[in-house]
Amino acid sequence: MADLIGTDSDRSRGQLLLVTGFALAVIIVALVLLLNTAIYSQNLATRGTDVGADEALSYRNTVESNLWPAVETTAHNDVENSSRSNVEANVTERIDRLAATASRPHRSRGASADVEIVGFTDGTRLRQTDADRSLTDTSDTANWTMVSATDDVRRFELNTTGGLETTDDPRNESFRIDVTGSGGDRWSVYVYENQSASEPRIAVRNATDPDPDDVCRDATTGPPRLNLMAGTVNGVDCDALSFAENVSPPYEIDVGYGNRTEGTYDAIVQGTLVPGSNFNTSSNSPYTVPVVYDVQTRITYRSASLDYRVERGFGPGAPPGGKTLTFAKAAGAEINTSDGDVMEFRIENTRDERVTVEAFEIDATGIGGGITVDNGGSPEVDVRGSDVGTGEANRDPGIFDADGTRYDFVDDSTAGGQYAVIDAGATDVEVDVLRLSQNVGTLTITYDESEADLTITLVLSDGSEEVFYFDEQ
Amino acid sequence: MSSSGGRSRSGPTRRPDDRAVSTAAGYVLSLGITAILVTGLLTAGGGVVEERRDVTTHDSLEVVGQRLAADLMTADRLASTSDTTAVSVSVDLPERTAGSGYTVSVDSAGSRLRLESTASNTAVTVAFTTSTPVADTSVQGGDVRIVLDGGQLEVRSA
Repeated sequence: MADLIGTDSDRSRGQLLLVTGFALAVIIVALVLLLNTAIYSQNLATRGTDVGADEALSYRNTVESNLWPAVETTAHNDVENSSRSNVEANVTERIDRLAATASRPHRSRGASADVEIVGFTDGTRLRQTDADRSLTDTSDTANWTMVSATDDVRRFELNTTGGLETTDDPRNESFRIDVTGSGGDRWSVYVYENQSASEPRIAVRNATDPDPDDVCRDATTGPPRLNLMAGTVNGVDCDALSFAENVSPPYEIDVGYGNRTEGTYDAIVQGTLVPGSNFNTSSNSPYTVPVVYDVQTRITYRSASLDYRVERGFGPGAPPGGKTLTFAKAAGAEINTSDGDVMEFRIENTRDERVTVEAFEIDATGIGGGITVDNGGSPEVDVRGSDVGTGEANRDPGIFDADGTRYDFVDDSTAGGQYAVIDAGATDVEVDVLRLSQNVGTLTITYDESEADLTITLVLSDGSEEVFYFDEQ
Repeated sequence: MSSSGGRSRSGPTRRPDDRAVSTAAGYVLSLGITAILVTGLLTAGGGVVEERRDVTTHDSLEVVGQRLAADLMTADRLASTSDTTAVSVSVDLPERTAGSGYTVSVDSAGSRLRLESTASNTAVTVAFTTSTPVADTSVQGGDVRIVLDGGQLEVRSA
């Protein structure tokens, strides 16, 4: 009879179930681990993959948009510093301040952003500011070399003030500027008084056509003002006035018959190959001052997972989209306020020609909602300066909403039609916003849109917008 | 009751003693059936684990590949901006998926990433699109860096 009761010596029964139990436990554990892996994978899939590329590009864009406007007046040595090292030091200081301001929002996110100066390209600014002086060199030599060789000319403004040679053929002893290229080709512009017509004329000698032709006669009045780089005569476009057309650099620039007219000029050329004996180094006309022609920089953005570096040069031509109107003060500067409800800041026109401001927008919604501008019967918004037209806006609608609504100066002005006309190179153009309905505290200039609590947009006649950002402290 | 009729007196016939046989047979039968069931259960369980591991490995590699492809395209976006001299993107990826390692291979001609598990035959292909050339490289799974070197992007082990 089978032993159904068992004995103390038979304790090995049930091993099959035991082993099975263990095996099933292992299987279950394996399944759980796989489930865990699957959950982790799903978790990984839902995580963002952003490594900060947008922030890096944003920083780069901020620097590119604002670097040259921030340093241009310093680089072009408007204060006429005689030392090149001082000019470079001033440019460096401005770039450092811009870099610090632009990097602030990124530092708060744990990223490091910086702009490092790699080098400068030397340039020279040639000036004559005495309008009663003939356009000769320091020794009163009539035919003289202005620039021995330059690869690029950035600015060449010539304002003749009188004493033009009277002739029917400009090739006679009329005043001229000759630009001779590397192959010996020559482009010339003549300014003279036409004897037959008794009126001033401008003639251009093309590199491929040695006979000078009168150009842009409609715009040529009085002793004319020429902008050779912008191609304008008395501020009016003159397509035929195309600097060094068909002439290849390097250029030699000579003045011919400088004794046949008087006037002023302001030129900025790349390089330093300017005959020193033809110019003074002080402010006695004609004179030269050192300028920084352009700046080579290294833009760096570093975060925990990203390292991004760019090396590029900055000048007025690069990048496109550089601003026309810029702050007269650097980023971080406090703007004037009175009781926190009046704004006053200054702007400059960095373009070659005058611009017209037709409309404005004020957006203070970053500070508080429902802010308005109202100065009673007086203008609420002024764009004014010593040598510029005045743009004012008031009366209708009487109260301006500071929420980004666009208002035209012409429609709202007391005079029934005022634009703000700002000449090239004009400084100290003042923009006033009077009587904000809410105290906006202390405001500082910033170039970073993300920092902006208040923005003011000036709309130019060509449709472009110049936006100015302010950070509430 | 007595037997007084035609029954032989040579002695009683011994009948086989099959008492308690059904119990033993039942025991053997139940043991056998249990063994069969257990074997089936373990076999099926092992198959499930194997299948789940393959599926999980595939899904994990796909996620990893898509993350790497996204970061590769981010690096390309930065590298394709003008005047860029250096780009380095760190990508945190798991060293193992479903308990086994894997390799990442860049197929620049096909603009694809191929992720292959070292333990199973599971492999995943993920496509990417870049304007910057990408070097053909192969790295072990784990943290990697995407760097711009000599005008082309390269996936390297971190």
